[in-house]
Amino acid sequence: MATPQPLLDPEAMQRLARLDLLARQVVEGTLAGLHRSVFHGFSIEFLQHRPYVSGDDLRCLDWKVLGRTDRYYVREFEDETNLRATILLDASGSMGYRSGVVSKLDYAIRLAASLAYLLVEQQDSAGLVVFDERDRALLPSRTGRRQLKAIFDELERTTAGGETSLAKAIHGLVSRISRRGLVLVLTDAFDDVEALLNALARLRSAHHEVIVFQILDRREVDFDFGRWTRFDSLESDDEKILADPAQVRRTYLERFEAFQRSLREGCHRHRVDIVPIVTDVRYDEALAGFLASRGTRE
Amino acid sequence: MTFLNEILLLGMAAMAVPLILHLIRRRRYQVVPWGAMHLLAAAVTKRTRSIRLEQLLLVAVRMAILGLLAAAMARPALDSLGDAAGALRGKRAVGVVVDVSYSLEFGGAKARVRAAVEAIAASLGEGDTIAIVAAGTSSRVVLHLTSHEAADEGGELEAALDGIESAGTARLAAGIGEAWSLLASAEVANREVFVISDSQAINWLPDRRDQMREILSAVRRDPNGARVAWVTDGGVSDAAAAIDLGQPFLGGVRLSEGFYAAREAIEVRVAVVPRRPIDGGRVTLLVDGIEFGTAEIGTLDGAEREVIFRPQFESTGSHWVEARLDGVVGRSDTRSFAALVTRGRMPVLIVDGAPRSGRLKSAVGFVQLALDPYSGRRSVFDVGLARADALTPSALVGVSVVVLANVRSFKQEIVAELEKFVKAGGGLVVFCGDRVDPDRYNAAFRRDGAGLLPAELLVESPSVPADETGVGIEIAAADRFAELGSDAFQGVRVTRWIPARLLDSGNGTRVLLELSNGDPLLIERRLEHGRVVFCTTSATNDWSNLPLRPIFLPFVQDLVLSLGAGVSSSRTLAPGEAIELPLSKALVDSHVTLRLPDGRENRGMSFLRGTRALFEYRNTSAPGLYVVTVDGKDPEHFAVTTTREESDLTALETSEVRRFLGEFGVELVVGVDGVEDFLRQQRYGVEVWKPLVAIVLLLAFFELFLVRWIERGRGSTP
Repeated sequence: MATPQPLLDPEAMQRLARLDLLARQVVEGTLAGLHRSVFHGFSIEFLQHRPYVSGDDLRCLDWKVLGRTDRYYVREFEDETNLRATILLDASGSMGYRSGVVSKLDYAIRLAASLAYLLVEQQDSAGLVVFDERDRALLPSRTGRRQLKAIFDELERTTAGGETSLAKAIHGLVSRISRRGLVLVLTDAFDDVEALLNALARLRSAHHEVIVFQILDRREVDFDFGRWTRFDSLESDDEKILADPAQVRRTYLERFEAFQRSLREGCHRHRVDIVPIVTDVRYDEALAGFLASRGTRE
Repeated sequence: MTFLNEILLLGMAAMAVPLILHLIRRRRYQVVPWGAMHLLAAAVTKRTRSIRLEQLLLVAVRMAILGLLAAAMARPALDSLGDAAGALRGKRAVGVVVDVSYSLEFGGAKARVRAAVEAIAASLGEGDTIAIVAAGTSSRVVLHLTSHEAADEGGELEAALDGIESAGTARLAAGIGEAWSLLASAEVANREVFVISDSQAINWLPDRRDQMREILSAVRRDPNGARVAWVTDGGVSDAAAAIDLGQPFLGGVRLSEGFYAAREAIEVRVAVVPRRPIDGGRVTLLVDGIEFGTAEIGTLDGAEREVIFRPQFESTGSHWVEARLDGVVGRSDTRSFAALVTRGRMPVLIVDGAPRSGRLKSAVGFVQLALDPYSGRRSVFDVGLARADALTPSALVGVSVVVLANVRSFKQEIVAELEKFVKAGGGLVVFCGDRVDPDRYNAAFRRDGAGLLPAELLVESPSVPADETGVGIEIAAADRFAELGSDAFQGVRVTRWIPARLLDSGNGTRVLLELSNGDPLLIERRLEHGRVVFCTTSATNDWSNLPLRPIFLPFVQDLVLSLGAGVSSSRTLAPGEAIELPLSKALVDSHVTLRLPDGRENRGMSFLRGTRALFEYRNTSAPGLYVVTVDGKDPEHFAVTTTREESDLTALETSEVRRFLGEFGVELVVGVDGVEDFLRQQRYGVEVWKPLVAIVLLLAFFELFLVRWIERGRGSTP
């Protein structure tokens, strides 16, 4: 493994045009200090017990069997080192919002690149679906550097536009992914919550593990505008609202909190991990926080 | 409502600023491409109505702040209701009563009083009039009612203010009455009296409160009465700081009453009144400027102490004494003065109506013995004798007192001389006896009330039956015989007297002693400069046992001394009391020099009053020694002493003064600033800028709160 490079904040990372370099920096920097085997046994089906032989990973030892029988057995999993992950990237208009240098889509793209790099480096397969109200790109899950380059190329071409239709995209994905795996959804989730949750439930019912990375901008969270503002919708040219933000702030935040709460509860109900990330958080922190929680759960 | 700074009302145009800013802000908005429209739209839809209300309220509050601020700066005034409103519609006559008690000299009180009077004068308008009364021991009009323009331009106001000096104790009720009577002559709708006084507690003693109650009630009841305002300058406490109230002061110098004879010891009593226990100090007495003696005070625990000196004046004439309290600093009432006139022996002529040989055989004998009881020792009295039938007018020359003892009658010429003698200041004592004929006396001496007799003698001469022991004597004029004591005549029995009926009681005639049955015994009558004392019994022991009683000697001496001392031998006056120096007629229109206590000299002239010349000076407000010199002759001394109570600068609580005055609708104003505010309120009404500013501050806080309330809930984390 290469010497970990210092990680930069999102604005600085923005200047790094090549996704591959960026992803490498993020991942290697993130994984510095984390055990490489954090993804080991990651969402894989148990197959059988077999006797322990010298050289087996002690983490696969079944300690309960040892306790009961005083014999050493390891657990075998189906496709133990071959995780099939699909990255679902929301490229709708709302993802194009930026209050600073980095838009939500920019952030999601870099995060997606980092996740793809991590997966491929782990010898897992990674795929990509880019959508707005329709699928814009579909790369089935594969391993290898060629796949990684294809993913990076697609990500670099991705721009925000169109309306959000996350539920539809997810429903479409379910029919395309035959084998269960990991679905990483990068979105702001600014859609019909119930429809979204239903779609996520469908993924879960297809035995996929689902993680939703909810990408948000700080201003969407705080709504700290100081003067009269005309808010123009990023997804519809007709929708414009002129308001004194000070007067609607409280109600907006209440609405936002309610939205987040229902999303959170729904995901919890369907055993979907949801990771809200604000775009002013460093990539490594976002990724490391998530990976650490995954490692703890494992 | 009126505005004192009308031009600043233009500032109310600033009210438009918040509205304009609001409109500008609405137009000058930023454009933000937004993703979470569904959340924003829901928020805006929910609060559309309340958003509008909040915007309106905020703009309205901001406009109100600016508008009210501009209004406050324009100094609005609400017209007062009632009398003040009417006061603005007509000319005013203003009387200013100034408390010129001694405390005026302390703590800058005079300057404050002047400032208050000037403020009042400055508030007057065209055609208004002003008068100023100085209320001291007596009231003095320092400025008669005059138009304030004339008073101002002619310098009369300035001169009146310059002439205000302290004059003893303030008699404010009298001062108010004086001012009120001055205003009564003004043909105006609005009369106002301003009383300027410190809150010295001694001005509020019960008797003075009663006087004030009476005058303030009278003013209030009078339909043409005046509106009264009381200005307290609050300066007594400052004066108290200038004077250490803890120090003792001299309570005054008292001389023994009566006739002061040269080469006779005179008792001078000096009272020392401490305000707190003191240890040490001494009293020094100076006689005619020369130190006579010193007495150590020792320790005083708060009680008054009297120190007695007995100086002797070698020469006759005017003299003065000064008592000093040493060991204390800075108080002018630690010096006290007294002045007096000493004379040689008093010439007394006893006219014998029934000469008998032997000293205790006749009335003359008893009287002579009483006046000159000690053989071989000089008496104060130079007693001469004359037979009634040989009396001539020349015998009266140079005599101070004539005693008629059992005289039957006189020639008309002698009666006329006796009348002149008494009117010129002489004293006449008449004792009855068996030779006195009531009819003759009534005819010769009474002259239907114009003569010397103070009473009509009744013919009947009752005598007490043999089995009774006589009637007693009671003192009718207690002040007259205070020195002798109230029981002085106990044991005296009168068996014979001539009944008398007073001719004109109260008009200088009064009963000094009466018998226990009510008949007058000793009757006094003032006749111009002299007095007559008529005794209805005799000076012998056959009509009463009085001549044989120990009281007889002091009684006769006291009687003769008081008659022979003239109008006054004492020249010690209270502040404000006029100096009156009688002179012989030959000294009319003479040049008179008066040296005042502060060393300044005044020049004046004597003038004719009645049958004699007189020099008079009224402005005796300053305590100390006044020296009068007529045509370069020997100086005559007068002493003015402060009243003891004026040294007490304890102030009455303002709340108590306000409460008392409130009963009569009198407003209390505190300080010169208070006077200006009061006058302004009178003229323009009550200023309300302060409440407006308070409202502005409240609105400002409310605006802050409103903004915070609208913007609440800033920030949250996902």
